[in-house]
Amino acid sequence: MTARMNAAAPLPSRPSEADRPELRVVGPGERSPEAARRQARVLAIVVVVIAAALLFSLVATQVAITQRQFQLQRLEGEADGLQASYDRLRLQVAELESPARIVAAGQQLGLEQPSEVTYLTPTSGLLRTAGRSAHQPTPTQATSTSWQTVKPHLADN
Amino acid sequence: MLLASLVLFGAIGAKLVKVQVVDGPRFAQVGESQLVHTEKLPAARGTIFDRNGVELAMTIRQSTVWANPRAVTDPVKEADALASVLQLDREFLLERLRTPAAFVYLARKVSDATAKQVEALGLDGVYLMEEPRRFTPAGDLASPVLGLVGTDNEGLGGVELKYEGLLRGKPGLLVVEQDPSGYQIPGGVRERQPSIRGDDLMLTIDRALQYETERALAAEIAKAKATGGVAVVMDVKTGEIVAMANLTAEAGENIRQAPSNLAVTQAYEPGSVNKLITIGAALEDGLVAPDTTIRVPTSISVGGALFSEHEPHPTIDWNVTEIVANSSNVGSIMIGQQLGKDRLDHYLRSFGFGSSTALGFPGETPGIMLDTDKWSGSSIGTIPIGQGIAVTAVQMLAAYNTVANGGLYVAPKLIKAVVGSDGKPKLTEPSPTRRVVSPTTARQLNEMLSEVVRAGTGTNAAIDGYTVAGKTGTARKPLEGARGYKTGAYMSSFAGFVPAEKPALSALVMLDEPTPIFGGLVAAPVFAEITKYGLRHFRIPPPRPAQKIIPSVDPETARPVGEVGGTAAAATLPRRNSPTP
Repeated sequence: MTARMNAAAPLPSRPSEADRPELRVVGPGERSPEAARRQARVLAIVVVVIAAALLFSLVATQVAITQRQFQLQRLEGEADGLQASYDRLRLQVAELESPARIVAAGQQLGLEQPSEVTYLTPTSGLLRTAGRSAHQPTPTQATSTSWQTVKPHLADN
Repeated sequence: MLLASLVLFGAIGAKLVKVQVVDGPRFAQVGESQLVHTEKLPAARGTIFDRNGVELAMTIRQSTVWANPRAVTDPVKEADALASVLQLDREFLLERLRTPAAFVYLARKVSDATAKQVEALGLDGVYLMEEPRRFTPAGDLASPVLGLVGTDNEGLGGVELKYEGLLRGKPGLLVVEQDPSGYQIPGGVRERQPSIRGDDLMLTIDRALQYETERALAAEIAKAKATGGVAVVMDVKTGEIVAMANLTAEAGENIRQAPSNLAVTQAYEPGSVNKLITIGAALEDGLVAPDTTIRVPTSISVGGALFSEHEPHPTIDWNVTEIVANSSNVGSIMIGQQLGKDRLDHYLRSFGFGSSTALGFPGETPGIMLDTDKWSGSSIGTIPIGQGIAVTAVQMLAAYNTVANGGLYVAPKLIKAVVGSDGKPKLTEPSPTRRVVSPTTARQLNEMLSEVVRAGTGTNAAIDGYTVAGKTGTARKPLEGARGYKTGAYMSSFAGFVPAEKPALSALVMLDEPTPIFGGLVAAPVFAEITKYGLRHFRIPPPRPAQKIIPSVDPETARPVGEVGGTAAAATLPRRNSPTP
């Protein structure tokens, strides 16, 4: 058995002190340089993306503000114009309603002011009399619609 | 090579530092002054409405044509083009377009059609801007009352001046950053302080009645070849002036609106309409009663002056009512003598003479009333009949309104409501009142004044279906700037109220130098016409006729119910084909 062992591949020679790489105990959570470089690359990409996104949103906001500003100006101008139109129409209506214009238009149509006005003033007494027939109606006559019943004050005409 | 690069970049860096750091603030200031503009936002002037909310005066924006001569490329050509459109002198426009300035007005507040034509011309350096302009949709209706505004929309007279503080509003401010083309720079400086619109005013004037009043007055001025006239209508209970017409003319020609509100700015000797105060004072103090009889001669001498009746008559016994109905000068003077100057003066002032009314109208006069210690010997002869004293039309109307109102003076009023920028009308306070004569005295005067119209000098003021109460006046017109009276010139008037049973409207009409001269002939008919319209317009019905219903027929007696002894028990309604009772 020892001979077999002795016949195995010779053991690599121990490196010299000068060739031995410097080794140290790895701390907990410590990453390898490769991993750190990888992480830094990722972080840089994220920062750039966020910065780009912020810049983009800033530009987008400015664009939105500008658009709204133009819209506001346009709407203010429209409101102004509509108010001016409304005022002009009010003036037009008032001018059309002017007494001088209406009188002139009426006169052109042959109308004139009435020289006399007759007032009809029904009195409450008349209403009472009209509701009361010339003679006491019988129940069958109560619903009579003859003029003597409805307008007894004309009975003697 | 390296050294050259270093020197070059060093120079660039130094310049950058100089521009950004050293001169930075200065450049920023220059930029701001070029970009930031401050614009005044004019306040819309309040509208003046009549009592029904109809516009009498309103402001809308009109275009003003202005030019920047520095931007005008061809002044001659542009002046030629503008002259016909703006209807202005070519030389005037040329001078303006050559002015060494950045801003000149060419035409202010032009019509929309003219503005469009100017815009269509597309001239270099000629621009349009909006300015407010005052319009009166009803033309010159009530213009002496409304007043007018100047080019810069400030009130110059009348209601426009009196209520300038309310109507004017408060201008706003707009601070913006603009590019050279005048467009706002988005995101730039922008501060806006909105303008506050002026308050609107609602007058007590009724536009329709105002028109009718002016029309009727103008017609009579033309017919009587007068030099002018005034007519005022008032609501008896509230003192609100519902119409106030002021017209001027040349002997009935060229009738137009007076330059001022003569109803309050012109004091005149009222004549016989003033007898209301003389008689009212004597009644109130118990010196006379309506049926007190006085022996009235045809003339009387007072303080060396002879006063005569307008229609001579033999010495006659008249009661006080007849003295009023016949407008007796002598009778009124005799009553005035009983009253004495102190009491007469007291009542004249109680009725509102000698002091301005509550209207406080621009240019209003308190009238002319001498202190009693300055009265001459003949003053007790002149003042009771309305000469030697000067009052305004509104003062005299307010006196008649006092009688119509049962002896209670109610101050005249012209503003019904103020409408704030929130659009809510706020009614003005009711007019203050004061007792001048008792209700009994007022009723007695009412009856006397009714008699004037029924059978006296004021029959032309009668209105069918209504009882009118009033008094005529024909007063000599004083010379201007000299003592004495103008020959053949009179101020003719009628003052009264209707319906006498329950007064609703009072009115005064006065004509200046009419022909014929008598108030009963020229002013009374106008009073009737105006108040007739007013009664209809305000739907004031006539008092119910003193009539009773036709009685029903008793079936047993075949006679009208209530008939006693064969006589009719009551007056009947008009039958068909029967004359109206």
